[in-house]
Amino acid sequence: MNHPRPEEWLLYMEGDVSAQDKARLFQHLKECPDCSAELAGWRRSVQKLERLADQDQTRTTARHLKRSFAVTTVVRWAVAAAIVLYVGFTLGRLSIRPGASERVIAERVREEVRGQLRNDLLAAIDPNRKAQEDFQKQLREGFKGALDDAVKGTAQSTGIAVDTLQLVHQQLDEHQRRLLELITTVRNQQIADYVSLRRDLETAVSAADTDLQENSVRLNELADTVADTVVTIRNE
Amino acid sequence: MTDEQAMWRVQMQDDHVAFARLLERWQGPIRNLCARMTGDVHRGEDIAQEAFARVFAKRKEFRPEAKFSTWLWRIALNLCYDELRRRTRRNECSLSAERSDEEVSAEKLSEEPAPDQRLVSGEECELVRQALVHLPEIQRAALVLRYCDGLKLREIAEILQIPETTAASRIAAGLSQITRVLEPQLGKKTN
Repeated sequence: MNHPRPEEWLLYMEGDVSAQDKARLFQHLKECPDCSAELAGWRRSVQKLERLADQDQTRTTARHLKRSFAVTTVVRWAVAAAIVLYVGFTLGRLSIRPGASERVIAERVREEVRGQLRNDLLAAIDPNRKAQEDFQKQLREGFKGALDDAVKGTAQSTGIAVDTLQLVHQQLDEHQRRLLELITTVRNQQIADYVSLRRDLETAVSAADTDLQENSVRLNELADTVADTVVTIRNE
Repeated sequence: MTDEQAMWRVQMQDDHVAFARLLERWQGPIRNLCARMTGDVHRGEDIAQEAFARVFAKRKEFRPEAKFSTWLWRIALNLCYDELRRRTRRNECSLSAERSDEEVSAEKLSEEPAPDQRLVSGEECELVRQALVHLPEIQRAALVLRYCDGLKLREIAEILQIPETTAASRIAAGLSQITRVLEPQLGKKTN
């Protein structure tokens, strides 16, 4: 019996097959107890994995709820305590008519007590707040560090890029100058060669011309000699 | 604000507020993924933090046309793989996700099922966690992303940078293997 591939069973289980394939696979399940048992086992495992995910999600939600609840409670307590302190101080001071400096001191003490109370309540009710603050502090420091490194790196890269660019320009100028020198040298050489060649040609032409003239004179002389000889033979 | 909009702000303006939003939205799922992949809740939290630190450090590398979640899942998974390789080299094996006092007390705020049901549910989840840890990493990642994080086949293929057919094949192989491990322990119970 030809069994369908595991990927086909997965898509069948998730309802992601064509009607034709669905019918074919369904027919196979009716005829093959092994594939049927395997698929049933898969479905049970999927349910267990989904239950695991639900439990983790519940845990995460509970953690959030607990933190929000704790913070809300703390805030309420802190506000209540601050109100009590303020009212207490105010009533106390009203009866004594304090001077300006005493009012300032009273205000500072109220602020300090409020702050201290808030911190103590937070620490008492939410022991993980410190861990959360530490984590946030680490994260902030990490971000700041990464940001500083990025800025430094950027500045450094920019500096290096500028230096490199200047160096490249200098080298380019140097190469250009050398190239120009080379071209000039080659050109001068070419001119000198041309002049020399022309001179040689002129000399050769001149020599050839002289030879031609000499040959021409000889030919004329020869012609005269031949003519004289012909005349002599005729006369004889 | 979508993930991609928030990430754009983080990338262009180093916007910490936008980053905090992303953190708030994704730290739960990423922490769960890391815990399931490593089989260790506390180590999973460390790795999740590391994942977000890496996201911020590599913010300039994020391509605007890409999906943020895919990139984040991939970073977290790679860190999990690194951790598992380190453990293999050190010959360590963390099989159980020990529950902290916080996790136990947190359950008190949720709806409380009957005591025997809660025990069974807790035991079963623990066994499933252990079974996951015994799977090969590639099958574990595929199963966790599909059935614990609810991602589609196409998304899983994108995260793992494999074809969809390969992703399907890994999930199928993972299901076969985890079924073979769990059925003898838990029997053929269903919901």
